[in-house]
Amino acid sequence: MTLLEVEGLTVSFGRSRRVAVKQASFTLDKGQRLGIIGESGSGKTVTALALMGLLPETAQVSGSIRLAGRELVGLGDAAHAGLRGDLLSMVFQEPMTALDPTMRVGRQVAEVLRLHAPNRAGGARRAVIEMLGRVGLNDAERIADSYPHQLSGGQRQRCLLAMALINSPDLVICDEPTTALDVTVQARVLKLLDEVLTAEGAACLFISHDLAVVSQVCSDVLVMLDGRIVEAAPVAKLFTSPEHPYTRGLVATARMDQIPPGQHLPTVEDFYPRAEAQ
Amino acid sequence: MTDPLYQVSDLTRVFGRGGRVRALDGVSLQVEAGQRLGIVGESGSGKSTLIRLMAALDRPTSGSIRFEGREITGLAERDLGFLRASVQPVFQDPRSSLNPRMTVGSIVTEPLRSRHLRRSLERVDPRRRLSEVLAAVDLPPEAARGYPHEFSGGQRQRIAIARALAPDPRVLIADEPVSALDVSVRAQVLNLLADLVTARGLTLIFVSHDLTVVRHLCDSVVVLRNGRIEEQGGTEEVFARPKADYTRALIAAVPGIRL
Amino acid sequence: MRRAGLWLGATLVAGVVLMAVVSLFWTPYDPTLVVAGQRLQAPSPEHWLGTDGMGIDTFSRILVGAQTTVVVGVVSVGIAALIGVPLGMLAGQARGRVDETVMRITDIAYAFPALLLAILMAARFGASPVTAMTAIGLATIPSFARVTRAGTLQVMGSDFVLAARASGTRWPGVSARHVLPNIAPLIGVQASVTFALAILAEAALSYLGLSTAAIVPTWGKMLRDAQDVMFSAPLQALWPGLAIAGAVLGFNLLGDGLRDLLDPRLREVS
Repeated sequence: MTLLEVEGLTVSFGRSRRVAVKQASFTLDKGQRLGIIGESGSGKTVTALALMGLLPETAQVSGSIRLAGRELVGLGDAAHAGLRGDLLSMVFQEPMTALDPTMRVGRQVAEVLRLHAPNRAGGARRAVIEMLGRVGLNDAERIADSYPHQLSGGQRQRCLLAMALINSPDLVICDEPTTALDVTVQARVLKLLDEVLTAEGAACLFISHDLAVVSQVCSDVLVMLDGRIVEAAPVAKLFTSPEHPYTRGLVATARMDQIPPGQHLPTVEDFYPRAEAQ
Repeated sequence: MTDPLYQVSDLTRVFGRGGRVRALDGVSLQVEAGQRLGIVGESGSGKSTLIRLMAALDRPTSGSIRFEGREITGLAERDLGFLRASVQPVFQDPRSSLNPRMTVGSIVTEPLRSRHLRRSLERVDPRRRLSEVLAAVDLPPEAARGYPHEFSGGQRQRIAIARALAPDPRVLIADEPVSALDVSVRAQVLNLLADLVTARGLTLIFVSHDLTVVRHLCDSVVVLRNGRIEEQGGTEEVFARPKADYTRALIAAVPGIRL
Repeated sequence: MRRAGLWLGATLVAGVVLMAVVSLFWTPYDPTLVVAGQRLQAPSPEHWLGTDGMGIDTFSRILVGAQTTVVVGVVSVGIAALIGVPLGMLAGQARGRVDETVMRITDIAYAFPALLLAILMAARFGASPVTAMTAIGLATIPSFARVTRAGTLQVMGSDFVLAARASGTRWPGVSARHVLPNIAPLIGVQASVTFALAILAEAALSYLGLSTAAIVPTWGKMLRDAQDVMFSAPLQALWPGLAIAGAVLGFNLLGDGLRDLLDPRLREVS
């Protein structure tokens, strides 16, 4: 069953009409995990922000985004805000800046709950503690009463995950959620994400520049280059038989462990020469 | 038997009132000339503190660091010229390691303009050295006139490497030089580093939390955790037969390809 | 369209400066010549803004008043910056006890109101534009020092300063090549905003009679004179009031606009 249909999405900024996303089209089924892979500036984050309705005023959006049959392009901010945190939610990259440093964490999670489910307000604290427990925070009571700076990076990211999941959204968008984390913490958070998404039956759009990370969570991948989607395939197929030369370059650079030490690492340019050097 | 290039003994660095944070706790290690040492650890391991101490950008609370046989821990800045000329850092964040208000040319030649560094350097023409190092990092000579914000992350790291090469150092200390770059861009910078180190016979001290990169680039590795060394040895040996549980956990955590 | 504030501010500021410069060479009428029969005339083609209680053309007085405004602003900001910026840089770079000492001293100075200082100085040294400028300048040193220190701390925490130290650059070089160029925009914004404050302070001082000799026109003094004839010629209070408001608004808008101009450049959306 199709949850999200994006067609011809084009986003440009400012008077200079700098085009960040060109004619992006893809679909997402209920419960499906789709990764978007690309470098900085490829348009992957802009796509996510367009879905969430969080683009700045200077952005011009055209095309169509249908979530559960509802058209999101051109939707006013108030209406879009009603969907955020409820039907669709987002987990950002930097846990420190995505959390309000002056508010206790439990209260921030409760706020998301109260915004969309006001009649549950009575049991809000209980729901918050339960959610924090489900994202693997064992000392949930103490964590709920803590401020962000008192928690570690991994704990903060789990709180963000709790905020994103508390209203059981149909779609969770993750924008490089583990990039800022240590490798052991990253492994645990990815495993947690996998489990929780399965348990909730939520679909996921996972954005990253790291193919290995994307393959941990997603079943299918979109490859973005300069604002366009150049390839779409299941993860296995992408790795075994990539079609677009850029994709081949990405796959080659993702498997550093297969190159004997001392030998040159393959670069993207070996497969897909680009006009300007990176 | 020649002295090792670096001899670090029982190095400790403590921060905060009453020594609240023990960033480094009794670390001892050796670096030989021409070695490629990887320093692996997660946040809070003390790896950045360690290399700042080795580059004399910070003073230890106790312990000793000998470079080329000379003790550097108690030296005043004006006596550190010999170290600065021989040991150059490359930092992690390409956005904040280059002065946004200076041209690339000025940034790269800054080491050559220091009077107290010059005492340790032979006479060198800054302009010629500038074009040399820019060429060495595969950047066009016109790049010298540009400002950092005009370049991509990968290019900015190459500028940082060019700056490090300007005084013709013996040692390159790289603090997570590719961690802030996209995965697909890392290969270029890593290849460049490997080539430069080989061609110039440099000693490389490479700090990273990314085991795959360290395994590829370095011949020996030190694993740090909470300011202490968990394990050290030859790269292949440590990765194939890790002795410490922490090392095993690190190796297991690296995201492989899951099909 | 979003730069409207900046452009408006710049225009107002340019207008004030223009008035000051032009009046050095020419004014429609002599701004100090008393003309008995022409008191308190309404605006007319001969006298665009009318005449004041002594028969002097108001427009000419406004033009000349701009000179004092500009000079007081420049000198006050100059004193505050020349002392405040190095202090802030010293505090930010030296840290530790030096930082604490400098900051405590500026905190104490900060608590002392500029106007009170001006009155005290006028009582001791006599009322003149020089005392006004000096008082305002001295009183504004703390805000420059604070802003400079904040900017300096930020720069000192960056990797490129670390790299500079690794390159052998010593602290004078770090100050000149790395700190100063990166805090310059911050100081520019602070100067603009301080200019606005200086204008207001001077107007208040000359309104109180603490800034200039009797006959020299300044906008504050014109307000004072207009107060005496408020019921016969209320418009006479409007012109200097508008001039002061316009100048203050202009410098504040300019400062705000510059601040907004600088911010987006530092932020990147990827």
